[in-house]
Amino acid sequence: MIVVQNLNAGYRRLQVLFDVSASFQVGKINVIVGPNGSGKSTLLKSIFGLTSVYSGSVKFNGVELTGRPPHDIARLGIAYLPQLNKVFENLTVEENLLMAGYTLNKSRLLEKIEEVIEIFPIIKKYRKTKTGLLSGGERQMVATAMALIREPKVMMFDEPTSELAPKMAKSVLEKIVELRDKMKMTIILVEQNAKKALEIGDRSYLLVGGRVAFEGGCRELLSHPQLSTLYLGLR
Amino acid sequence: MVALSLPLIRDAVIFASLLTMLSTGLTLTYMTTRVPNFAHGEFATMNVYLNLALVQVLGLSPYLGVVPSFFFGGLVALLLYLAVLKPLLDRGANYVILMIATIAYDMILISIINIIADYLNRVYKIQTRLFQLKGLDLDLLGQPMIFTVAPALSLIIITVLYFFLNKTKFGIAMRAAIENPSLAEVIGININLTYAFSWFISGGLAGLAGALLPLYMTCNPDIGVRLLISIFAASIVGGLTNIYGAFLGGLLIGLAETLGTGYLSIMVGPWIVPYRPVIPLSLMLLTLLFAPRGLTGVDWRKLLRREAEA
Ligand SMILES: Nc1ncnc2c1ncn2[C@@H]1O[C@H](COP(=O)(O)OP(=O)(O)OP(=O)(O)O)[C@@H](O)[C@H]1O
Ligand SMILES: [Mg+2]
Repeated sequence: MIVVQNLNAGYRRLQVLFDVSASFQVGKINVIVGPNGSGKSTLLKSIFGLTSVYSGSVKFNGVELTGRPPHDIARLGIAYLPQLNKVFENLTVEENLLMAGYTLNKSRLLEKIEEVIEIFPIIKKYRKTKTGLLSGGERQMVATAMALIREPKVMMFDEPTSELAPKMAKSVLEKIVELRDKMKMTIILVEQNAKKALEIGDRSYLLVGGRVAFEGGCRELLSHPQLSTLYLGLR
Repeated sequence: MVALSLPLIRDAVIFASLLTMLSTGLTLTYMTTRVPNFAHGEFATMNVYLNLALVQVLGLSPYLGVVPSFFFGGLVALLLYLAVLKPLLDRGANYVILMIATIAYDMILISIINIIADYLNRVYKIQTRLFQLKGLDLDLLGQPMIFTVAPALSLIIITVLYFFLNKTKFGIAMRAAIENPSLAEVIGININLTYAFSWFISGGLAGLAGALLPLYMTCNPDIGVRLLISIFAASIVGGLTNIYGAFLGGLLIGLAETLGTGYLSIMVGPWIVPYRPVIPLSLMLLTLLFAPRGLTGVDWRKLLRREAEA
């Protein structure tokens, strides 16, 4: 379980998160929603040690994560699919996949690569292509494949369906449900499409202006009379 | 037109080859740490004197000295990264601060080199200023062996670098860390380790060049500064962010500098020789003005097509 407590964090002198507390449940899909700029990505980055943390703590199964270098956190079994710059554009697709499994041993890695190619068959024909030459959606698939290769205990997705055609977006969300149900993975999901995410999710957090404005079940947030219209554009 | 003379061509080939070892290293650390390293010339000079001591004090062959020089050069560079640059980077220093730090390190190294030169001279009675080791070179097919060793070593190095960066896991990780450090960290790559390694390799390659320099030219404690001009010119002509560009830049600058100075001294007189750095400096300026991304940044295919159509 990942527990965030009274976290104040940001980028050097610019504070973005204010006193954020959250506990992300094991084996569940934890959805984070909120308006643009509300600090959703910053929260994920802070869990991974990529921001300046001023105070507060982030614990993973009791282990303090703040102050640790990100490559250490990766080895604890947490994977993170960033919203931006999520692939190495100068590397071929195959090199990206190899790098994604940096912490795995060779034979396991090759197995996992075959597995993700089955999920995203399109990757196969681009194996030797520089990733920077792919379309936005294709890159998104490579990035998602990279995250899945690592067989993490916790998987953090930052807008995994942006740039994908509706059909592909649907299958990525289905894949996330499958990760929860079959692999018992803990998911933290940030989504622009709040409605779709809340429909598949279990627990939800609404961030507004860097603060937690709501915490509770996904159904509860979906049917919340004010919050859903005010912040999520649902009527 | 003056005919090509063998000694001139030989000098040009040797210098160009040694320069590639220096420019690829400078480019590598620029790519990882994003700092133009002004101490790079001294990584070579330190090993000019290490090898001089090995040869004159211990009686080793100058060619055997390349091995310890590689490791010593690597350590001198690693120390700059670990003791100076890394702590500054952790505090969020920008590249200007880092650059000034490399200049400071350079000055310290120059002092150390002078101390070593004086010490060797006083204690072992070795000539340590304006000296060369050409007399100790071996003969290969009627030519000094350095004429074969320098270009061969240069080719081996660029080939090994290519395989390292493209075929090994750690090498690909280094390219990943260069392109996107935070994503590299996120997937478990220790970017600090890849950066440190790039400094070691860079210093090591400079060490190789330094060990071989006295077989080619007259050396003095201050040659690092003169070399630095050619090294920077080579890296900039090569595009500054491309190892293979730096290699080509090293060849180009090395040949242009040596052949240019040679011809000019025959044509206008030997008084022109001290102005030798004007050649790399002007090539560097021309690159910055007309092809700021260097040789490798130019879209040659498009350019050639346009030429063909015109
Ligand atoms: N690398 C950065 N350096 C400085 N400020 C940043 C950086 N990244 C984000 N910010 C700022 O932090 C605030 C929160 O950004 P964040 O990316 O966390 O929002 P978000 O909720 O993920 O928004 P979106 O829905 O648009 O992705 C914004 O005001 C943004 O300008
Ligand atoms: Mg975001």
